[in-house]
This record gives sequence, C-alpha cells and structure tokens, in this order.
Amino acid sequence: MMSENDKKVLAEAEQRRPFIHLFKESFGYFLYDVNMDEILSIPGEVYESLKGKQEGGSEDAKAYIRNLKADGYLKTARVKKSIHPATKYVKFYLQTKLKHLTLQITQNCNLRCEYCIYSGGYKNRTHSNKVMSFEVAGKAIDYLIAHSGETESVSIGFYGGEPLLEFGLIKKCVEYAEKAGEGRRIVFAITTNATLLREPNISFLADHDFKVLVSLDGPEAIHNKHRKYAGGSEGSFDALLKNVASIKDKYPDFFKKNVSFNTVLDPENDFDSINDFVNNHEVFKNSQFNFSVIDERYKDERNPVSNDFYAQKNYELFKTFLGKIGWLSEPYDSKTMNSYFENINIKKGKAACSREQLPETGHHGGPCIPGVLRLFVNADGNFYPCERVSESSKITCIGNVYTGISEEKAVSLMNVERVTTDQCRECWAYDYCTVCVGSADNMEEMSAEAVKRNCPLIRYQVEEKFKDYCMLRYLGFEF
Amino acid sequence: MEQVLVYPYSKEYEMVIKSRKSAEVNLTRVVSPRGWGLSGGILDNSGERVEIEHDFEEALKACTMVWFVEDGLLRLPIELLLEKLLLTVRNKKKIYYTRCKNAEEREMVEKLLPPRLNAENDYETEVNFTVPGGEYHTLYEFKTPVINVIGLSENADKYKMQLLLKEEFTKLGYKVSVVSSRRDSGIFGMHSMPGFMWGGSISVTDKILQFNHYIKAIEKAEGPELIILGIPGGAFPRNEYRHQYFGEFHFEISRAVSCDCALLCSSFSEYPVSYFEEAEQRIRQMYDMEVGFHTISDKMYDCRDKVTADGTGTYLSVESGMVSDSIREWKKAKENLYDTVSEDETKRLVDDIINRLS
Repeated sequence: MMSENDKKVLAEAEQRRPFIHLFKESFGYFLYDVNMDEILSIPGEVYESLKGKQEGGSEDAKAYIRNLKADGYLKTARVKKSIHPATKYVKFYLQTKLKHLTLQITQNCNLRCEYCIYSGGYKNRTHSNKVMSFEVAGKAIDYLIAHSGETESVSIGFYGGEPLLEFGLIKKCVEYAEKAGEGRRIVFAITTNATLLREPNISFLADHDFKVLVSLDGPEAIHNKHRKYAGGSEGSFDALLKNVASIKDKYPDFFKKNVSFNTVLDPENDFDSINDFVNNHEVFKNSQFNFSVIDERYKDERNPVSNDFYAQKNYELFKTFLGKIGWLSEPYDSKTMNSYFENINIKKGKAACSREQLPETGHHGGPCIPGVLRLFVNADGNFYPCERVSESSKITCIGNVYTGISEEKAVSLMNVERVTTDQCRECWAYDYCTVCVGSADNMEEMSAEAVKRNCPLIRYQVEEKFKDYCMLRYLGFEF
Repeated sequence: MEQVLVYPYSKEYEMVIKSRKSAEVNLTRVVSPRGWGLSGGILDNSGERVEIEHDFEEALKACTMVWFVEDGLLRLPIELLLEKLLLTVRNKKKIYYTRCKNAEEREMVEKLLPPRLNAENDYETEVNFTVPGGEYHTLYEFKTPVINVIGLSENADKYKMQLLLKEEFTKLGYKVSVVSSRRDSGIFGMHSMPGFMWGGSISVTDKILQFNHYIKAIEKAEGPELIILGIPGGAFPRNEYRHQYFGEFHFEISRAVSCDCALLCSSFSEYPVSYFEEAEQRIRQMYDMEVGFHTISDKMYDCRDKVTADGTGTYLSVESGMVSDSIREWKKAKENLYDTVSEDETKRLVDDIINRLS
C-alpha cells in the first residue's frame, strides 16, 4: 500500500515527465507534444528512448532529444488549475451571445423509435402528451432576442417528439419571432420524422426558408427496424419517402438548399447498404446527410455491435482516403465519411491559437458554455444546454423562461473537469477531449466514474485521428 | 436646433449619445429595431437619460430630422430601412443619411430619394485634392501639434476617445480640429475621414499626398491649437483570418502627417503587462509613431466566433468594473494607462497630453 508521501513523490515524478504521447504506424514513429499541440515525425530510436523512463539510447538519439528541447518541445508543464477559461466571462456571454434556441414544442410523437432517448430505454423522461404553451414559447423567443445583441445571426429550431404534431403552434411562434425579431434575420429550423411533412406544412416551411432536418436511418428495412409508428409495428419509411419525394418534386430549390437528413447508425446494421442507399438512392443521392451512432449516454448497457459494421465502415474510410490522395481513377465522394474526413485536420481553425505551452489555468476541450451555443427549452419552459442531456437529471437544468439562465449552474456544468482533475491533467488527449455534462451525469451529480468510462474510447478515437492525419500527410495530402 | 431621431441605434453609437451635448443638433430620440435586443436607457455625459425606443413612428412625431446611422454588428434589412425612410419623407422630416458601408444599399436609397436626401457628405472631397495655393506633389509640414488616436484592433473605443478629447480640450478653451476615424462625424463639428481614403480608386501615394493636403487645408482654414487624427482599422492584422485592414490607414496617415504622439486604444484582454511596451515598440517600428498613452475598452475579442464578413471578428462586452480592476493592476508597472470611466483619469490623460505637447 503506497503511503501518501510515496504517492506525492510519484505524482511529482510523473509531472516532470515530458507531456507527450507516442504512437507508431507501419510508415513511421510519431510524437504528439501536448504543450505545443503538435505532431512530430521522429526516428525509431528516439521513439524507443522516449518510451523508456527518461531519455537514453545512443548519442544520436540523445542529441535529437536535446534539439527537440531546444526547439521548445518535450516540456513537462501541465495545467495547474482546472478552470474553464470562459468562466470569468460567462455572465457576459449569457447577456449577449446566445445563438440558437431549440423549442421542444411537444413531448408527443407519432413514432416510437426504439433508440429514442425518450423511449424508456434511457435515464430520461418518456413520451407524453405535453405541449409547450405559446406563453412559454413566446418568453423563450423574447429571451433569445434580448440576449443575442452581440451575435451576428440567431436561429430557432423546433423539436419534439414530433414537432409537426403542433404545426399551429409552430406557425404562431414563427409569426411572433418575426415580429419580435424586427430588424434581425432569424433562421428557422425543424427536426422531423417527415411522416407529417405535407401541405400546408411544406409551403409554410418553404415561405419562411426553414432548414429541415429529416430523420432517416437508411433503406427501408434498416429504417423500419427502429423507426415505427406508435401503437404498432409498422415502419415509417413509406410515408417518409412519399413526402420527401413530393417536396423534391414540387419545391426542388427548397429541397436542394434547405432539406438535409440525419442518420442514426445502429452498429448492428449493414453499413454497406446504408452507405449505398445515401449515396445512390434516386431521391436522396444529392442530399446532405449527418451521421451519428446510437447514443449510449444515460444508458447502463452498451449497444450491441457487429464486427462487420466496423469492417465495412473502415473499408469505406479506406476508399475515401484513396480518393482524397488521388489513387483512384475517379473521384470518390462518401457522404458517410465526409464529416469524419473534415475533422481529421488537427490544425483546422487553430491558426489563431498556436501556443508554446499549456496555460496554468485551463480546461479540456469538451464543454461548451451552457445555453450560449444552444439553448434547449423543454415543454415546461425549463432551460438545458442541449437536447441531448437528460431532462430527468438533477443537474442539467440551467434555468427557465421566467428566471433566465443561472450563471452559477452554467459555470458548474462547463467545469466538468473538476470531478476528474488529476486524471485530466495527465491525459495527453486533453485538448481533444469531448466529455461534457452529458457524459459526466449520473442523474444526481457530475460523476468521476461516469467521466472515466468515456476516457479509453476517447483516447482511442483521438489516436486513430492522429494516425489518419499522419498517414495522409505521409502520402502527400495537403489539408 | 434640429430635434434628431437616431436610427437604427446600436451600441456602436452609445458614445455618440453620451456625447450628445457636444453635437450641433439635439439628439433627442433613439430608436433601435426590436430584434436587436437593446432596451433601457443611456446616460449622457451630463447625466440625462435617453431611452432606447422601438416605435419609430411614435418617436418621429417629436423630431424634425432623422439621422440614419451606420450598422454595427447587426445589419438592418433593406426593406426595413426603406420603410423607415419613406415614413420619414411622408412625415416631412429632414434626413441626415450617413450610411455608406454598403454601396449597393446607398445607391438604391439615393435613387429613391435624391431630392429629399439632405445628407451631409462631408467625407466626400474632390479628386486630386490639393490645399488651396499649394502644389499637389508637395508634402506639407504642420505647425500645430498632432495627436493620433489609433487602435490595435476594432472595438477599442477609438471614436469614444476622439469625442472625449475634443470635448475636454474644448472645455479647457483650446481650439481643436478633429478628423475622425469614421464617416459620420459632421454632427459633432468634426471632419470625417475623407472619402478618397476608403477604397481603391486612387493609389496609396495619392492617398498620402491628398490626406496631407486635406489636413493642411484644415489647419489653414481653422487655425487650431491641436489636431486630433482618428485612424480607422487596426494597426496590425490579428491573424491570417482577421485582417483589420492590415494597418493600411495607419501606414498612409503616418506617412502623410507626422504626429507628436499617439493614444493607443486597445480592446480588453488579460494582457501581460509587457503587452503595452511591446505594442509601443511595434507601433514605433512600423509607423514611426510614439505612443504616449493607453486606454482600454470594455470589449474583448471573442475568439470562439467565426470571422465576420469584413475580417474583423466579433467581440464580447464586459463590465467596465472588470476593465478598471485590470487597469489598476497594470498601472502599477505602466503609468501611462488611463481608465477613462473615471473623470479624474480623463483629466489626468488630458493634463498629461498637454504636458507632453508643451
């Protein structure tokens, strides 16, 4: 059993180690320097030396390491105080920087999708007949307008359940928002299962330039596996296809510019058939798709996974890479892989933020400023940081339409790192961590155990991204 | 005196309303589009409160003129602008129109209302402007002391400082000529940055020459005891994405007119105290200007936001108390920092400028 003093000595020794992560691929050895946030290609010998306790190895390796240090790499610095850098300014962000409002128009839905977070399979409320009152919606809209004075553009999204069940309320909200938002361009959006997407709804949505996100999981059999009508086992694919095809036919410009699709990937499904469907189906082939895997947060069990799914997915990624580096005779555009590919570039958006060392006070990359980027309002008028947190949790509510966003609660939710400070500060994937309150929430409080369950997967994913980045660079791809 | 309605009011015009007692008209009503989220009131420098209103038609009844001002971060839709212009015309009110960022919009408005557009285009000057009796290719020197008001970035309250300095020096009995960094300063008896300095219709050499002559003409005509030049844009690009006009104006104006010293306005940030010396050095090296004084605005650059259409980025307003606390700390190492929220500090700044120029 280690004494407290021994633990302290060990921790201090750990902290004197260069803050780096080493990884290798068939084409080389690499060092990710956490302080500089850079990846370097290094000789194998140096890799082996650094992998040991301290520097060692041949004179060449030692000289190489000395040069790295002279250039500012291999620093041992870690963040000392875990505080989100925006904490001091949260009050001001909440006053003027709100961007997007999501209104949970209704908790009712005409479908009962099995993976829905309101299906009863998650630690969250379930479907109900609750409908947002216009009074609550109006107050939420007023709140957005009053707190977005320093945001160039704002948007209002309609969510559910199935929001088109309350089309009259949506119309009223839009008319109210356009009046209250005089002088402001407001973008309206809706997330829908498309089963009710027909006239007169469509012409209203088109007239108001709505961004429409349709939930579509793939070809008929795959879509209908989960996305079934309430009270029965009939799938919703046929109605969706009929309605979407009609929009495409009657409102081609609107369809092209404003309608996109969200696909929830079930890792038990056949990836190839989904991929083929989104890339080649007559109605959808030119449309934009977002992809995400069935959410595992707020669930005790992991989702079952088919090995074939990931094998097929990885093969699609492989073909995408070949296409990008010009090794295929024809261009290869993969909707399922585009989003992943765009995020491989670890330098993206960082030109303004290069650094020599981790700051003394900092926070890992995961949390947003609750309510600022997105403000989710449920049918009762309660505020949440987004629609992906549990409404039944004790910690996720950050205010309501009557009292506004609580600064104290926003600060609490964005400082997730405080529950796993010691571990986070030693984690090489610090800047790339995606843990936010949704991952840390055990319904009662922010839980270190809940956070740590995510860590191995996050580190694995970040390292894979690094490897893909290095491989593409090695093969001459210019980001 | 004209009773003027300011529309569409945004925070960019807060210091204009605060300084309204120095204006040549009575800025009596302020209307902001409902959707811009502004409400409450503004306390002017004499302690009087001006309410931010939303009902244009109602406010119009009490006014003789409408000043259509430039947009800030939020852009007024053209339909709304035209609606308010027509309402103004129908109610037989005068129009002071200084919106010019959007050339297409201005052209549309000028076509619609030419006989009624009583706009003061004081920023427009003739082509090849030469000081009367002068030679175009000569660069003139100035007998009058010149202070430049410059910024490392936008949203550093440069215009506020120009207004403040003009007010304070005028109160002390000095005759001051100001060429501001904006294009709508006529209402305060200031000259606006001349039209030839904006855009690419003439060469950099011609801009330098003409600006030199423009200031010389002002010096000859007005005989000021002090000239204040507000320089648009930021002195340097912030990074590859936020160009802030690349210090274009700073270069041209520094070549056209040698200043005796500069007041450097910065947006708020958690600067190390070395920032101020480093900034002074950079300005000296790039523009041959000596920065004698520093002020800090209550806006900080928001690096989370994407680049705005004009390459300047967006800002977050913070409380002036937070700025004052930081200035108090920095001042322990750097005395020429001024917290102009405080009257005493403003007086100190003015006294220090006088001492420096004497």
